[in-house]
Amino acid sequence: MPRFRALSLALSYIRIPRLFLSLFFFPLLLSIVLVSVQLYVTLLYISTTDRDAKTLSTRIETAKKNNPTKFLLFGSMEDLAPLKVCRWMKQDGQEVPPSPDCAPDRLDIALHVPNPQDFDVTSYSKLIDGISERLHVCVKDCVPDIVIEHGQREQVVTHFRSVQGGLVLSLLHFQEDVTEHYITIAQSLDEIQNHFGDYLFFAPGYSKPIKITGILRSFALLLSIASLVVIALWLAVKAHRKILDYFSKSGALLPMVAAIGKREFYGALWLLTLFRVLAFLLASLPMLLVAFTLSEEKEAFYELFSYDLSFFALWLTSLLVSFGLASIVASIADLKHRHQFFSFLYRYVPLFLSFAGLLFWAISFFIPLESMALFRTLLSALPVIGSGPILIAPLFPPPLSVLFFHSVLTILIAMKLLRQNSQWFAAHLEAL
Amino acid sequence: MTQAHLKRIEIRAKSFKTGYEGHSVLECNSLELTGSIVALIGHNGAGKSTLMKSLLGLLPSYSGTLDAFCTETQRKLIPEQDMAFCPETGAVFADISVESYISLWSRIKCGSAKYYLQEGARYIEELEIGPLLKKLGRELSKGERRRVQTAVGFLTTPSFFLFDEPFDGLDVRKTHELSTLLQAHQEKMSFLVTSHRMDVIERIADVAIVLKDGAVVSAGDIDSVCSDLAGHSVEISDIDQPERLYAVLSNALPDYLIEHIGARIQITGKEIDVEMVRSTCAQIDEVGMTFQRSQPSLVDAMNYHLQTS
Repeated sequence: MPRFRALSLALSYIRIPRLFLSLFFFPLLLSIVLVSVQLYVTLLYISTTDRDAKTLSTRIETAKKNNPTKFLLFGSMEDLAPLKVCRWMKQDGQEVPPSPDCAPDRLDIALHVPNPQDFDVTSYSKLIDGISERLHVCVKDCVPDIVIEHGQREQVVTHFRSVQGGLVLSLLHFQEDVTEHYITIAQSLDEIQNHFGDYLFFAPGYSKPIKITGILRSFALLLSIASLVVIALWLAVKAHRKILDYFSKSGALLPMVAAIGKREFYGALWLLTLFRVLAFLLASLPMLLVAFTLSEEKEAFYELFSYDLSFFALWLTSLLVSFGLASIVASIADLKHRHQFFSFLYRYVPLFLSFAGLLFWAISFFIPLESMALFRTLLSALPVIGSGPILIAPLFPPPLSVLFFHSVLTILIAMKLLRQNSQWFAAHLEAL
Repeated sequence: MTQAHLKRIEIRAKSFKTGYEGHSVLECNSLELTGSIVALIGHNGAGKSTLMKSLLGLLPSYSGTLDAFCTETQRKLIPEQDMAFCPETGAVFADISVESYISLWSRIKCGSAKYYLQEGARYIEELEIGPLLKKLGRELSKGERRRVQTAVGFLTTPSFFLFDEPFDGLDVRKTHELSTLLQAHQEKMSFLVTSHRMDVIERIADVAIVLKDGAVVSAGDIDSVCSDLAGHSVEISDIDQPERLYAVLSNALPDYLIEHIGARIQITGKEIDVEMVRSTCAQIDEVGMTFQRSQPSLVDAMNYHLQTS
């Protein structure tokens, strides 16, 4: 029962508290933090990909009401009091504020113009009303953190002397006068888009058309899930190396392999790595699903997987084993050639193969031959090379059998590779 | 302890070749050797570790076989079931206590994490591991690490226990204690020991395998290995001018190992022409010298072997 022996061995290792903490618990915590950040960034990005007028209008309204920058600058999300315009006057050769309540504050805005007394500030007043308390108009002596310079040849330059000043300027995007224009443009684009509706791509070899409209948003969702798998496997490769180092530095590697058997020991090491991946996925996948289903992108998420949980599960499995094999290949190649100067390049070989596969797959759409559909199917079923098309399978869904064959072939190759490598591993224990 | 009571293993090799990355580094055409404490000796890089790893099943065989058998049952020994190994540096995880480490081994090999406190307690006591149990691995000296791994090996009650350089760095007392320990357990298990300490090997081993440049150059009981490597020794005593005779003999017999031990001189080598030695000695001192032919010690045999090879 060698497999069960490897399993019981792996479980024995986990029961060492320090090994558990350093190899599982702390990396798990770190990875969950990573996932949270990644989820936040993804949802933020996805929210910016909706550009129709209605969504844009809602988003702008929300941003106006709940603007963290305003809170950071003014301690409140409300607009400031109505803008006071202060035209500075000359006194004893120097410019001074017209009244004591016009004394400049850091977050005020100044307008440097040659003729402060009669310069028309109407457009500026409308733009900055609510985000600054005072607009100072002078030739040069009023210098808060933000200064708008009107040069000799109608050149305008805005200087800001602090980060806070820059943040005040960023609030301009949410001012009524600006957002009006955004919404008008979005409405015009909507009208154009309504002439054509959704774009559907009838690619040869696909049972249903592929929706191209909103593909960026879907792709971001996919990348978000795929990046979980990538983070998990990256952690796994790191963990694998760490576990090996842990054993080899203690001198226990050789006695343990001798006492347990090379295949069982090697199997136990990979099982430990697998446990770590599973622990990470068990912690992060529910987080991801909950985040997506509670967010405004709930529908997009369901639609991406055609409301089919089995498709989602099969896709995720294919993705996991596919990238898993790539990690194993990278890890083994890296280990075997670690003494060579360019050894680090080996870890990118699977990545290069995946990318090449995706490139050929994409190029095939430009070749108007019926056989290209078969080519794409075969390419997608291949381990490593087919991992690109597998990654975007929810967008360009191949038959389920392709996902299935890809997974099975990948698992078989991974097992064969690990089996073969256990011999090499045993012969090089002292060099690890 | 009589020879009949000893646990003996037989090492057999036939047209065996092994190595790394496809390069053969150890060849053993034919070997059949039975013993209780088997010494594996040779210069650095001779292939001792490779042979040991081959016996442990860690290296692939490029051709032929190399196996160990139990002489009583003629059963082929399976490394993970019947063997234990203690590396030169010993072993213990740096950040866990010795107790946790031994407990882990007990769980893995003996089925119970508490085995070392029950049936295996005698080994903990014999190797004086008790005071080390609460220490972390990183707090142990090299000798202590080796003791821990030795105890772990004994706990698993192997038929064949392989030691890599166990006497390296040990003082006289510790060397004696370890030698005694190995001899005391010969009834239950056989040992394979690599070492450069020929004096110790000669005292404890019953058979030896001598390796040179990845090939077995001699194998058998210690006496036959010594004869095989160095022929015999001639000891000259009752010398009037030993320094002068030593200088003359060193010039006259450059192919032999000539040692000046107090008032005696010993010549070791294959096919020593005793008459020629006598005539050379006669030039210095015509009367009174005594010549005695003897078996070379393992130290001398290896010295001669390494000098002439």
